[in-house]
Amino acid sequence: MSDPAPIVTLDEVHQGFDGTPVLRGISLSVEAGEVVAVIGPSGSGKSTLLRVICGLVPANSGRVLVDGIAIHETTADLHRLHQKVGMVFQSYNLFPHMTALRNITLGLTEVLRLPSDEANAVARKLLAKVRLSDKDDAYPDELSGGQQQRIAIARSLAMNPKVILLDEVTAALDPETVKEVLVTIRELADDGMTLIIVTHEMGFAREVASRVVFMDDGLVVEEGPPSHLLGQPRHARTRSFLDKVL
Amino acid sequence: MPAFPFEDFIAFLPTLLKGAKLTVLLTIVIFALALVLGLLVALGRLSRYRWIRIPLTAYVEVVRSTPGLVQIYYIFYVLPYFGLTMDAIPAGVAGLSLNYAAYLSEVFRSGIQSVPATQREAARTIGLSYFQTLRFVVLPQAVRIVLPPIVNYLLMLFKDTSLLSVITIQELLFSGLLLAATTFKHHIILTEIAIIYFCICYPIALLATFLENQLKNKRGPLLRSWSAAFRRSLPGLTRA
Repeated sequence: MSDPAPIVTLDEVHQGFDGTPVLRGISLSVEAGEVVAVIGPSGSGKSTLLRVICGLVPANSGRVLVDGIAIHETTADLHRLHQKVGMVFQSYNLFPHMTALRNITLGLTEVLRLPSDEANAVARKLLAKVRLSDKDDAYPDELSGGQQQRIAIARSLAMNPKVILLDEVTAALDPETVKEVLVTIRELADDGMTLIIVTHEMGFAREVASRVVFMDDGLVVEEGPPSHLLGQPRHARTRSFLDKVL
Repeated sequence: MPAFPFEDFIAFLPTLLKGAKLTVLLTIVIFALALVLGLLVALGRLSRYRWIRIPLTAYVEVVRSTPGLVQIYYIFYVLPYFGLTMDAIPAGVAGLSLNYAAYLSEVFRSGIQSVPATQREAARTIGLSYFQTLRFVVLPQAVRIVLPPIVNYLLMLFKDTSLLSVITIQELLFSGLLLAATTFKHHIILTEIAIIYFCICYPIALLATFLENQLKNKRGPLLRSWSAAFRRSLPGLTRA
């Protein structure tokens, strides 16, 4: 199936808090099935970029289109947007008073209005996908960080989104659980899910991304295939960043 | 020291228990109203709109900075000058409800604010509306924090209904004072009143302590079994 229109389009997007600019004119377009890794130093606006795309913070100016929804317009149907965009956070943000299963079914029963047995069936399939079938009845505080993060990924998948945004999802994890989460993400990519990944894991970006975007100071400095951008960066700023992290 | 006056004690009991019954009823009605109003005020004060926040903040500050007794007098005796005349019981219910709603709103507000903003964000990204986020994500977590202080306010309200004696409501205290006015046996009647208040309040105080101890333990069995029972009893509501 060919889809001519990109899933996510940003056009000259500006965003800032209290007069401090965070995004200073971002243009970016992501096609269906692409896996885009966004890298860059802290404070470069990577997380804010994701928060604009999923509608958590409004853009001050510019156009943001997500699967045909113009979310920069005040009449945008954010309710529908949230069903098209999944978000996974660095700190998981699971609901601590709900079991793993309920964390996943909440959106299904309350937003999509599925009957509970159908919602449970969907959730169990997703638990199996992230290899946590036996943890359906566990509360978040009974799970390791890696397990919680995989539940959070399952929760975002439940709404059957067109694109999933991952915001430094391994940054808060113990080194030994990072891998299980990265494996889960790679499987999503292999399934053809469109992903935008903010990450500090350069090796992972190189391996899984179809395109790498380097951001600095609220701007996209350069973008390209991982081998080019990580191997032979054209810009001095990209080079100096990569020298520090690689 | 005189012998314990059993006969008087028994003779006064029916009148006083009738007063106690009104005290209990008033407490239930006022507390229910104050809980609902207090939650709405708390949500309003957390609103992003200033025109909602400012009047509600003014209301809370006025209530907290004037005596409840003055508020009750004011509603019953002063509002009629402005054309708003109420019977004693509606006036008393309005006065104490407004008073307690202001205090409870502060409890709710701190409870809601103690739930991290990231929880609301996570709820929004799976498409929950404002009210769904409140109902499924924020309030269930806030309840754990606000339950002990709320039970304490219930205890205080039960005793504070005695303030309504000043506007002729024949609750426990006033029914006793009327009895004393005709029998002149204040010493017996006031002792009896104190005993009745204690017998109702002390179990509530024990409940408050119990809840506090249960909730201190994050993994305590109370809320978990409670929420499981809640889910089972209301499958249509939470569908877990």
